Amino acid sequence: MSLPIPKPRFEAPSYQTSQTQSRRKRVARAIVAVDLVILLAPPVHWLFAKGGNTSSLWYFLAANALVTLSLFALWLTARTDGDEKE
Amino acid sequence: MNMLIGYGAIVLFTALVVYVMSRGKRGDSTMSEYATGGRSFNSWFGTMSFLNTWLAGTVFIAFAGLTASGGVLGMYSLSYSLLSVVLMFFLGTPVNKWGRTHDLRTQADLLGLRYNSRSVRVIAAIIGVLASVPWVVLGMQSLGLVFSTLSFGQVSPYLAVVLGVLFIAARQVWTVRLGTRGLIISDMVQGLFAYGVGFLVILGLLTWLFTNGHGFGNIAPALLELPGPGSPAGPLYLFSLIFTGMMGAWCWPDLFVRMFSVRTPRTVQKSAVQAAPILFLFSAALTTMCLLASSVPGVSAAPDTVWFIMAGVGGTGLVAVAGVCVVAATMGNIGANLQAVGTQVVNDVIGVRNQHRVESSKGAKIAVAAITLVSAAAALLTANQVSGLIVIAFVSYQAVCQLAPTLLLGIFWRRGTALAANAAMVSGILVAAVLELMYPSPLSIPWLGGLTSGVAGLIVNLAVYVAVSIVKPAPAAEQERVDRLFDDLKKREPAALDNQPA
Repeated sequence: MSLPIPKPRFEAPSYQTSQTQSRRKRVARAIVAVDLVILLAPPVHWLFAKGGNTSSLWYFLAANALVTLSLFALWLTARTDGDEKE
Repeated sequence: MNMLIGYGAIVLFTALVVYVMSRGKRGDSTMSEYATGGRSFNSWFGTMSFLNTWLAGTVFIAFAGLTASGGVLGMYSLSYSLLSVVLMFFLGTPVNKWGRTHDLRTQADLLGLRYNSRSVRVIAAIIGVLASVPWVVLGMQSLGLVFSTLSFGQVSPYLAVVLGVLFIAARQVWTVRLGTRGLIISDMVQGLFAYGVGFLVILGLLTWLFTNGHGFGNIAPALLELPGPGSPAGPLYLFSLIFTGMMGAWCWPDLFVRMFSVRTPRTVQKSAVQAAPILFLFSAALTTMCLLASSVPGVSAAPDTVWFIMAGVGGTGLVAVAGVCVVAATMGNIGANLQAVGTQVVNDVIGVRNQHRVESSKGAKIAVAAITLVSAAAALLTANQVSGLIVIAFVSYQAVCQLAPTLLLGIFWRRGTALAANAAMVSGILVAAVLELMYPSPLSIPWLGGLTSGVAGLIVNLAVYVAVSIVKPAPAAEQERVDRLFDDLKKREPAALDNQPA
């Protein structure tokens, strides 16, 4: 029984990079989808539609804080996307 | 004496801005240099130029007033602003890279390249110009409130508008001379004052409000309501406001060209990441302060003056600082608007009509000066008819966001065609304009669940764009050209670009 032929060294990183990039793109899309849902989806707005308490104010503050943090996550997903450094 | 302090603060700040701008002067004699500042700025300049273009002086006046009188709904501007920053993150690569590779100077220039169409380019340019001018005029007039307040009763409201218009028009001398490079350098000074010093003022006012019986428990319950099912505005009203703001953001020519001015696509992304927390902290603090201030005596009677009423608790000096914050934010927005509009007229309307690529900056300088004079004249002539102008400005906002499908799908989707873009823009604007005139106030359309005219137009616009692109696809040669454009985005640029001086 012979051992499997190892892949050439130059192929493995390229395959891994491609896999990593595609995973990062999926993560970036998921982050944008979450951002859109929490700030744009009407049912989310309706949860806080009733007045009388400050939940609507806290909704805006918390949701927008999350979207702000998501920009940092997007930055990390794009870090090795192959573009030049600043 | 109070008036001297108020007006003196404006003069001193303006002198500082002009000094810093003039120090950064370089010979921007070519059109590309004039329009893009040499594509040489780093991410901090990118961040501040985005903020100073986006957060106009009206955030301290009209938007602050909306929150003080309309309540928590006023926070919708924070939501659409941050979604616009998310969009900026993804637009960075195609816009900046195509801009550098193909020497693009304006938004319409990019559309002309993407669709290989003169008509798309000209229509987009005309929409951008026509939509921007009413906002420039309103921005000039809004300084009237600053000059009126800082005169401490010495100057009549009409004379204050005249002074404000003349002041901001005179300030454009340096915009005309120094172009985008001067604008971006001045954005840094203006932005640091408007949102840096402004933020410190807001923190002080929040502390005053909390310690003087104006906490969260003192906000009227009605001000904490959002439109939902069964509300007069309709259940989709808030969605419409945020969606229109987000889609419309990058349709403004002045904001869009900021992505051409920085070094690399990565710089645009970094600018967006840096802008987000500044935008969030500043806008969240300002809107929260305005909401709490709704219980302060006098605010409900004149909500647009909430910023100055609150600054009044700190005396003349704080009112002067508050006034300079408004001036600083207004300078950035008006300068950017005039520069982008003037450049677009020359580059994408006159240049296309004469069928030659404009290479000298002289024409753009003349156009910026001419549009400044026309806008100033319009601002003076309509100083007593602001409400009519506001209607035109609202219509123009609904119109400019009709560029969004053509712009965004053109950048992210290969199959969109010139025919689809033209048909979509025209149909979207017609639908939005008709509905806007039919339902001018409170902007929502009852039988559409509270959708605004802009969103209704966008739905038609998008449907037309996709349908025409699919039914009548581009010829094979054109599709190959577009594919090459998109494929070029995957290539790395030379590393030499990374080390260019600012």
